[in-house]
Order: sequence, then C-alpha cells, then structure tokens
Amino acid sequence: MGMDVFQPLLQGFAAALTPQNLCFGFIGCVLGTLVGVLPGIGPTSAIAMLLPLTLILDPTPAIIMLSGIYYGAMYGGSTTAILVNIPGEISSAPTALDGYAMAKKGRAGPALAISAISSFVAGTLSLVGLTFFAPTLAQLALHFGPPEYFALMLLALSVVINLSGKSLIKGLISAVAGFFVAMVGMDPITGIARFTFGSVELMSGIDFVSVIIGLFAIAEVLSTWEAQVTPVIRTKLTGLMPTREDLRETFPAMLRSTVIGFFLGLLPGCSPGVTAFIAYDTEKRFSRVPETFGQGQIAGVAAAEGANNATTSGGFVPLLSFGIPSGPALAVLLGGFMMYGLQPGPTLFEKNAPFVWALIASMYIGNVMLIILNLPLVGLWARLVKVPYPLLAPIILISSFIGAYSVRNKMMDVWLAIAFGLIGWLMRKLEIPSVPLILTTILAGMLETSIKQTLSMGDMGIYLLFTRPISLTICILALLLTISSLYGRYKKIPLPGDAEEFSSESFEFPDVIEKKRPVLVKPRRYLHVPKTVYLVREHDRSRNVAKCGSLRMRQAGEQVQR
Amino acid sequence: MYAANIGVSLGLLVLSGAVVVTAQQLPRTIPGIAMGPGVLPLWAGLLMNLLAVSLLIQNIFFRSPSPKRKVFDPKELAAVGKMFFAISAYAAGIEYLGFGMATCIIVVYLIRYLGQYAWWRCLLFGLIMAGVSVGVFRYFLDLPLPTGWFGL
Repeated sequence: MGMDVFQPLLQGFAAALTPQNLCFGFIGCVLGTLVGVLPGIGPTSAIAMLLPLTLILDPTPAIIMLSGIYYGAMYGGSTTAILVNIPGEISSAPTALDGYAMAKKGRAGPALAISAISSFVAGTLSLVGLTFFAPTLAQLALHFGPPEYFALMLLALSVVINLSGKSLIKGLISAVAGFFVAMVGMDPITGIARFTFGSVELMSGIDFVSVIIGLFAIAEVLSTWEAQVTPVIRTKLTGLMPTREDLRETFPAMLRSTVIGFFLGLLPGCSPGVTAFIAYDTEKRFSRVPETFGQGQIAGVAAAEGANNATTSGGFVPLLSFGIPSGPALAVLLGGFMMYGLQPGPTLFEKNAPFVWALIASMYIGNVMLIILNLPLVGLWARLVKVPYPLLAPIILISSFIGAYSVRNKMMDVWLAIAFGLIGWLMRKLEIPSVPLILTTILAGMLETSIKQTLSMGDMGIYLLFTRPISLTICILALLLTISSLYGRYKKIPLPGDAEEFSSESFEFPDVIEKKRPVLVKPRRYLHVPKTVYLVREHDRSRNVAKCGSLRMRQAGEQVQR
Repeated sequence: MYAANIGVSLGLLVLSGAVVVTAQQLPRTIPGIAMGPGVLPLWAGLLMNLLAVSLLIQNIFFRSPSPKRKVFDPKELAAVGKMFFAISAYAAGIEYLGFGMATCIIVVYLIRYLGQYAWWRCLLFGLIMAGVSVGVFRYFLDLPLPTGWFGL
C-alpha cells in the first residue's frame, strides 16, 4: 500500500510545484488567512464568492486555491482571537480563552507563534493521515453501484441532523427546502420541466452557486450591517519567540490534539469548531495545572489550534473518498468539485488521480506557506482587523455579483442570488440554519438519479439496498450516525455551531462597543459580536469593559441580536 | 419568536401545498423509467407539510420557558430594507447603466452611507473600485460583464 501512495504523491508534488499551481495555492493561503483574520467573513462565504470566478482556471489550480482558503482560514482565525479576543472563526473560540489572557500578560507573541506552530504540526501530521486513509477508502468504494451510491447519499443526508443547530425541525425544513430548490428545472432523466412556471431561463434550473452566494455572502452583508459592531485592536504585539519551556509544554498537546482533531474530523458533521473545544477540554483534563486554563495556559492555545487544523485535513477524507462534506465550507467546496465535473467519491481517485494527488500535495506545501505567512507577517494580519466594514461591504458585494453572474453570464443568476440573500437573512433571523439547504441542493440531483437507477435494477425496488453487503453496511452506518446524532442532541453534547454555555471561565471583554452606537450592556444580557456571543456578567462602565463568561458560539443560522 | 415561527409554519404549509398540487400534475410513472419526475417533488412536498405542522404544533402547544425575544425590530428592518434596496438597485443598474458605472455609484453610496466619509474620499474609492473591477474582470479575465446604455 505504501508504495502505491508514495508514487502518485510524488507525482502530485511535481504537479503542485508547477508555477501556476504554486501561485494559486499561495493566493488561496493568503486569502484564507485574510478571511480567517477578518471576523465579518468566513471561509464558507469566501469560497462561495470565489467559486464561480475560478471557472476561468483549470480545475486543479482552482480547487487548490479554494482548499487553501479553507485551511488557511484556520491559521488566520487565531490572530484576532489572541489579540482582540474576537475569534475570526468559530473554531478559534477556545483559542481566545487562553490566547487573549496571554496577550494581556504581554505574551501575545509566543501565543501567536505557538498557535502557528501547532497549526503547522497538526496540519502536516493529519495530511499524512489523509494521504493514507483517503485512497484506501476510495479503493474499497470502487465496487459501488447505484444502490451503494444511494446508500451513500442517505449517509450524507444523515449529516443534516448535526448541521441543524438548535432546532431539528428547522434543520429538516431547511434540508427539504434545498430539495425544492434543486427540483426547479428539467428532470435529470426524463427532461420534463418542473416548477419552471413557464420561464425559459428556469429550465436549466437554479444554479447552486447563486444559492450559496446569496445565503452566505449577501446575507452576511445584510446581517453585519444590521449588527453594526466594529472591533478595535487594543493589544500591543511584542516579541514572537516562544521559550524552550513553552515548546516542551505544548508539544504533547499538539500531538494529542492532532489525533483528536483528525479522527473526529473523519466523522461527517464534526466541524473544527467542535473538535477544538473537545481538544481544549481534553488538554485541561491531562494537565497537572487545570486551574490555569483560561488564565493564559499556552497548552490550551496549542490544543485548540492543533485540533481545528487537524480536523480540516480529516474532513477531506470523507469528501474525497465518498463525496460527503463534513461541514459548511466543505459542502461549498463539494459544489466547486461538481462545477468542474469532478465527482468526489470512489471514482475520483481512479478517473482524476493526478488532480487528487496534486491537491493533497498542495496542502502539504500550503501548510509550509501558511507558517511562513503567519509567523513573520502576523503584525500585518493583525492590522487588517482595522479595515472598516464600510470599505469591506462593497468589496464583498461586488465579488458576489460578479461571482453569481459569471457562472452562466446571466443577470437572472444575480437576481436569484439577491433573492437568496434575503431568504438567508430571514433564515438567520428565524434561526433556521442555511447549511442543510445548501447540502441538499447539491446532493438532490445525485440522490434522485441514484434512486431511479436503483429502482431500475430489478423487481426488488428499494429493498435492493439491504441485499448488497456494502449498501447494507452504509445504510447501517447512516442509521447509527442518525441515532448517535439524535442521542447527542438529547444529551446536549455540543454540536457544530451549538456549543451553548460551554465554558465557565470568566474573562474580560475589551472595548468592542463602538462609541458612536452604544450597545446596552448589562448583566445577564448577551453581548453580540460577529460570530460569537458572550454572556455578560458585569459591565465596568468607567473602563467600558465587559466581564463575560459562558462562551456561547453562534450557530450557522443564528441571528446577531442587540 | 413564537409568532414568527407560527408565521413560518403557515407560510411553509402554503408553499408545500402548492408543491404537492404541482407535483400531482407531473407524471409519476413513465414507461421504461422506474420513477417519474413527479415522485420526488410529491414526497418532498408532503414531508415539508409534515414539518410545517410539527413546527406549528411545537410553537402552539410545547413552548419552552425561555424568555420572549423580538425577532424583527422596526429600526433593524428599516436598515436592512435600505441595504436590500441598494443591492437590488445595483443589480438593476448593472443591466441599464453597465457594470462599471453601477459599481462606482454603489460603492460611493455604501461608503458614504455606512462610513460617513467625506464625499471626495467616497468618490475616489468608488472610481478606484470600479476601475479595478472592470480592468480585472472584463479585460484581464475576459468576463463579458454587462455594458448597459453607456457602454461602460
């Protein structure tokens, strides 16, 4: 097996090191770090906006760039978490607990350095896992026929429960709405028009890129404008170098968080946000001084950052082997694969082997680029947080419009993106998660085709699924995943984007309240900043400092409320 | 929130009802094909119906003791409405005024409205943004962006 992997991996490195791929990998890493740093925009929105613009590229550099945005964001997210206590990404929320405490003690530099080193170590080690796991699983899946694909679709749909946030009913409503969207246009097999209302333009269906851009990018502009909160940097950045003691203390944490992050990342529905918290909690249990966690314990920073990066690579295993995205950003990336006619799943490693190995190799290279970008240039990234939102909003808007238009060169797609932007904003207000809608919009076509092909295979109908060992195994897996997810909801285990009142640590929240538009801050009220919500315990009016606790992560569809 | 959820349930009931009715007009069986184009929409419509009823029942009979929360604040609605109008006007502007001119206008408007910067700064940024976007996307990447009445 080993040699089977090394040969194509070396060829992948040869492809990834070509000037074009290297250049787009670098652009992806820079953009990823940028969106990770900026609290108002996440990797999912960024990938959604850039997805159609990459159509002018070959699939390899395009997907290399989009993937770079995804894992680059994990690096960037820690910068604002450490310097201003505002996690750029949800997955960096636990980093803020100790990272910001370290920054307040004048140790922002070592915290940032350890965060980058841990991200690099975990990212690289988990890529080794991805290199060996993904092709093995894909080889097994080469024997798949329509029933197995149908079973895989069921497995992918079981992820919806994990992506549903607080209300399962609302998550399911969002998922079924995705089917409605996908059914507009011609039937994939018979070519009969459905729900087109006589419009010729709707005959080709609603492009999922318009849906993604609307629900993420345009809805984000509407929601952020509604929130009107601008973060301000206060912390001074001093020396970067961690001490030998810091490295000795954090190395085991890096390894433990890699294992936790990678293996949990293999499970559909386990996002970096969740694994970062689990790794942080595990590290606290392993520590001889657990009471120091939340007060500037460097191992906490290493654990959280290691886990979220390891999960990012782990998430590529089900995506590449089975075509199952484990989180929102990967669901959008799956859309990118489909746009290029690349079908992630068992045949990807056989039909598009050079592409897959170039992608995997580019991730190794991307990790090296990211540590270079994030260690010496951390001061520059930190300054970017000061970019005022009024300047950022038009850039997001223009990119979104060009993105929606460029897929089919039709203004209709732009109007659809605007309509979905409004729907996305409404969904946020009504606490309906939008990610299940995206997932089913992307999967519905494949699901319908695989059902029809399965039913055409004989007289057994749907029962054929249970007569073939692989499809039966996948069905059982889907059932187990569904049951465990439902049990998890029942037991209140923190689910992706739903880590309510996870931490009891108290920490100060500095001057995030814009003076022009004062926000009412008083005990037992939630203080909302982009992506994160804090429960206020005390408000020191003389210093405009809110003492907060009970960190509660904002879920995908949750609204920002004042 | 309960009132909003009830409103959502009722809206979804109407929508899913329309989907079911439309799906019933589509063929459910076609010779040689195991499943007609009407089957999946029908099931999806029925499932949405069921979910809408569940949400309705949950919000009428099984309310959680959490405090009441206002979903739509009139001030926020007005702000979002203005932004949505600006976005829609931008899309319409692209069709009639062309991408370059519409981009310049929307950038100036947004920066002035959101950031309250000086007019000359807004205008300068708008011109730069429009110029860069047109240069990169229309000329460098060869994207056929709409030119409108003025050819911009």
